[in-house]
Amino acid sequence: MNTTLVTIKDLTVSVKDGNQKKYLIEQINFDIIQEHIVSLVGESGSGKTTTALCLGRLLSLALTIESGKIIFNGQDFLTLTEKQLQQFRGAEIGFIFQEPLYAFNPLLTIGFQIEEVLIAHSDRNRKQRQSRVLELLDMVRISDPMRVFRSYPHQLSGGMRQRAMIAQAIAASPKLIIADEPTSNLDVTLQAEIIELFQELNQKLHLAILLITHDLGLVRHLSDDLVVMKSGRIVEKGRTKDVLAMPRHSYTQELLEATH
Amino acid sequence: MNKDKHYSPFQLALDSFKKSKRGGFFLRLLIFLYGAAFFADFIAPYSYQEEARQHSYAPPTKIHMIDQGRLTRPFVYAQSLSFNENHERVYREDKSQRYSLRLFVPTQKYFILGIIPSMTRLWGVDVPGKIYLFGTDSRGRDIFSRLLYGARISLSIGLIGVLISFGLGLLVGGIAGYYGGIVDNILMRLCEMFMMVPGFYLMLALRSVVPDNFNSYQVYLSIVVILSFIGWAGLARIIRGMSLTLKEREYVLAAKMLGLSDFKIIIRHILPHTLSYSIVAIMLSIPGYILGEAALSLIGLGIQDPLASWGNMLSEAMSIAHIQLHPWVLMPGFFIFMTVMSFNIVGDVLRDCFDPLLKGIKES
Repeated sequence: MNTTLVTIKDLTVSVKDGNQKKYLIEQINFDIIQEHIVSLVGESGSGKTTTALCLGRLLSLALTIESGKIIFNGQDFLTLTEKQLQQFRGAEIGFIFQEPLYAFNPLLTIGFQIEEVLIAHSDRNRKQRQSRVLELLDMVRISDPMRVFRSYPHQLSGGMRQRAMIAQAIAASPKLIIADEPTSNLDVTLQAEIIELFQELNQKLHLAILLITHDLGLVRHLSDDLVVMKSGRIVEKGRTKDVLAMPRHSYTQELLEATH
Repeated sequence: MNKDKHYSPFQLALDSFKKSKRGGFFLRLLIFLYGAAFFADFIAPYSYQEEARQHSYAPPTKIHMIDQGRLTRPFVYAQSLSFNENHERVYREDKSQRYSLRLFVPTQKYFILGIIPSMTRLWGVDVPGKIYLFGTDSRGRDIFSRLLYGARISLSIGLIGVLISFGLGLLVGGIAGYYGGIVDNILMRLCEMFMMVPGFYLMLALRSVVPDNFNSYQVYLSIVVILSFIGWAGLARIIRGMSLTLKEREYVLAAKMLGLSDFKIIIRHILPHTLSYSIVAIMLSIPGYILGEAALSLIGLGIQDPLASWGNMLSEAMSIAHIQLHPWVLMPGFFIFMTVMSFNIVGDVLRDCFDPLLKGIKES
């Protein structure tokens, strides 16, 4: 079962700065294997989030993809039309943001915002959708799904919101989840619970997860593969165990020392 | 506040609106006026076109409660018209004929709201007596009744006009701000074309395009369309600005990431965030529509006689002689004033309620 889900090939992203072009990502290559958890680590500004946004083709207008390919499940992702992309996002790729408070619309209930994904990507009727949402909330171990369903984002605690967002991301059963620093705003005990949840979902739902993080502890604990980025380039990649046991690049060594 | 219940920001704003005495009073006044307009044909003692030429410019009828020193049920005397040496009208009460005021008086068959057949009106006096609560106009038509019928037109034009122009303004502004670029440029230049021409002249120009042979309903509809054509552009510009900033919010990115269509994102995730502004703007712009209709009708380009609207009723008050001799023809002006003021105050209070920065500072 080691088939490749996503291949990123020679991906280069640039931003226009006056007459000059600056490269945010240069020639990066890596694969995401089905059902694997891949960690993407690196300092701030090293291009982690840009890489993630490329996977949803949601770069801001100032950024352009210069060259490269993203092949998702055999399909060249960069040639899809906007309409095809809409069917892709949410259904094939789920996204978990760093701060769920901002990623939920404050005027709509959590329940409705999860339901929205189902409206867009499934033909369930209203009743089926609602029971599916409750099931999802239960799946991310929210103890009182009915209450959370009817709540507005500001009424929930940080941990609850994060769980609700995970529920939203997996609602249309995607094959890949991209989690952009999912635990950095949570306290330590909550972090542990969320990590456990990721592991569980990874096994139960056969999800591949692209985990963007600073936290090497999390990486060691959770991920199968590791990609280390610095200044828009990949400096090291491989099996997590191997890389952490024998870091070859000086930056990886520094990173390891800094967290010990 | 009840902890188990969940409140949306709108419910919170409504909650603080309910606490405001000023807002509550004027909102009730508006509801009262709209209610009266809705049931105009039942409440009005006469129809809007029922004329009594021998009673032209009759002053408001006096209602008497005391007959020969004893308290009785309210009644009115018959009035007779004569002219004084300056050829001015003088109405005298004819004490030999008195007519009692009654509830549910029988009249000719008519239809309430055009559907329910009815043979009675809410109140009136015994026939052949007449009661003119606010006097009569040049053709001897009851101003009170015409005010009620006119309210139907004058008050509904504001609501319908605002619905059309705000629908248009929200949509155009939302689309322009969300897509940006060329779409934004084209839509905004279009808005500016509308805003360039002074409102009143644009209104007159558009009115002149409407054919003369329209019946009264077509005229009514064309006035609504004309008025809403003028109002949408300003709103579209403001909504466009808000949507430019709103589309950068993370939940819009999140919604895109979930694969929602652009239209859904604009409708559900961008426009609702402009509502606290636009609800206030709606309230504050309704008076503009009411005044617009009144202005058009006043100069004879709006609703045509015998149909009543507050504007065309006011055209009776265009000469100073009439205002001096028969001040009651100004009554529609008073109602326009009341309505416009109420909308402005309700809008003002709503703005305070929606503005979280003002909360707790001001408890009106």
